[in-house]
Amino acid sequence: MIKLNNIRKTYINGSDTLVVFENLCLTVEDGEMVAITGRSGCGKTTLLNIMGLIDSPESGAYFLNGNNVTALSEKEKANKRNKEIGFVVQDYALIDYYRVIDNVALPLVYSDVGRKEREERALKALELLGIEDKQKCFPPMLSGGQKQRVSIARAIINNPRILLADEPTGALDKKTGMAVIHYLRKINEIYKTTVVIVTHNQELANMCNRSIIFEETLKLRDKK
Amino acid sequence: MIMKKILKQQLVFAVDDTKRNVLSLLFEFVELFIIGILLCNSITIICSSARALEMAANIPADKMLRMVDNSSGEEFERFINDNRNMEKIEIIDHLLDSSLVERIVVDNGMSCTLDDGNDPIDILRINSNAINLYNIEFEDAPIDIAIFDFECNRRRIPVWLGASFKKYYRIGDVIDDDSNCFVVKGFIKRNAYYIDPFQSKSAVYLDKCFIAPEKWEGDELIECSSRIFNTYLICENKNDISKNLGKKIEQILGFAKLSDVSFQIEKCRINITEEILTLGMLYSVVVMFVIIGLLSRLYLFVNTHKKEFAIHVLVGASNKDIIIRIAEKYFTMIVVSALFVKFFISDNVSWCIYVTIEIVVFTLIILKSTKLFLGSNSSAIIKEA
Repeated sequence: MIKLNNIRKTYINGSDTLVVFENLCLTVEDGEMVAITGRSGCGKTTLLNIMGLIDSPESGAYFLNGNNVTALSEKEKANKRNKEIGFVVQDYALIDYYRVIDNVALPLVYSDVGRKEREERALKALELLGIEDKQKCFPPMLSGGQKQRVSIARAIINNPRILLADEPTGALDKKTGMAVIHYLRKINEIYKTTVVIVTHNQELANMCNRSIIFEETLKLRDKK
Repeated sequence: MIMKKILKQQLVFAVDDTKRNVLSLLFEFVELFIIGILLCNSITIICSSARALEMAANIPADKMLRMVDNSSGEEFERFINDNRNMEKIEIIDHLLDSSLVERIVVDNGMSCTLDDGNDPIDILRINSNAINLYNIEFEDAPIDIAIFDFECNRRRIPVWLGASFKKYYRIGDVIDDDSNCFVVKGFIKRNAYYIDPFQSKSAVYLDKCFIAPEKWEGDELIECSSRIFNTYLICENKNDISKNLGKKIEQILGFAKLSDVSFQIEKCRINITEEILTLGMLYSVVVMFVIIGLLSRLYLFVNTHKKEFAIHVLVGASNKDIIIRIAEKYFTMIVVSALFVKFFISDNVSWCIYVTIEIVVFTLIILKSTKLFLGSNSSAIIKEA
């Protein structure tokens, strides 16, 4: 479960301070599939980064699966990212010179899993996404949809309880985008993984159980 | 334990990285190696020049006289072709030995050709005073340098070889020339030299020379003359000696005279100082290239790998892990290149300076990486990538 209490986040640009959120409160229950939408630059990705422990709020408290993670050290946050959170991003974030299977198995290196088990688990994840035949390929040899599936496979390889997706269909055509959403839904349904998707795409948002809209007033409007 | 685990984890990536970028790493390594060799050589030369300058400063120029040949070339040729002149040379030799002066002989008039047909090798015939004055040091010292003052048998001339010959000869080896036979008695320490104000290069290095005692059995007139005209005298009362002894010598040999060499030695000091300044500038440029080269490598490495580092951070690496990986890569590079440079550079001082510079640059690299990765949070790294 994700619980954000009175989160404040600002960006400092020279002498200007831009308040991204003030007293932001949000709860995402286990197993939910939530879409976050809003205009560009309203702070959707910043919110996702805070949820994913790659950014920190100035004030407020963040509870991840019941634990307050606001003041964790960098190392502890890295450990949480590795074990409890999976990321899917718009540009896939794949390392071009690693084979597909090595890209997928990367989180397991930081979980101290041996090479053989890493490869076995990576292959299983690729099978789930239907691209096991691409395991020996390098990312530049894949289409956009395939790359995003590799990215999803990597995100779920450590069985995280939360999957955060930042514009997962942003770089894909409609058909491929729908296929990616299909896989995210499948993961949500099979593994009961909490999925939080940041998107501009209203059609995609409508496919989620819940939609959160960022409004001009730095407030969230919840549409269940 | 945790550190060991991180080191091992990151080493896997560093090794993978090496495998993928063999050519680029080879290029980096060659660059480091060339810089190392250049730097070590510059340091060695500067240190030697600085020692030469110190030596030139310690030479008592105000007390030195030199035997000078004022003849025309033809006159000298006629002189050495007439064996009756041997007697005159012997008298002068005797006068120089018996007067109350310190006689320094460094006769570079001899050479020998080895069987391999390479260029002739200079043989310096010197006496013990020259060894003391120029502080020529030998490997496996101490040796009894009085041996340089005795006449030696031409079939068993004791020689000490320059450091360059160390890989070809051993003590006790016999080197046969057409008319002489040399027995290797030892080796001169690397970068030994003497100062000769009458040569184009003031500090004459002995690495590629043999040195032998000044007098050989059956020396001919030309050899004795060469020895006479390569003699310096060190005396307290330079003017008196120049007047009295010089007059006697001139009476025996019209074209020979004792000359004051303080001006030439002063010029020698100026030459060496200029040499040090020039080399110092070269050295500074080389050091600058070392630092720019290594730092630009870091910049390139961090930039080309920024996306990869960001992805590692995304999936569970901490910033510290990334710094450890960079440290492992550069530490390996530095150790390997330093070992290779050591293989080619025998001078320990310059090698140590090179390693020190490498360590300083390595520290800068780690500090910069620390600032880059620890100073910013994960999102900043990911955004930058």
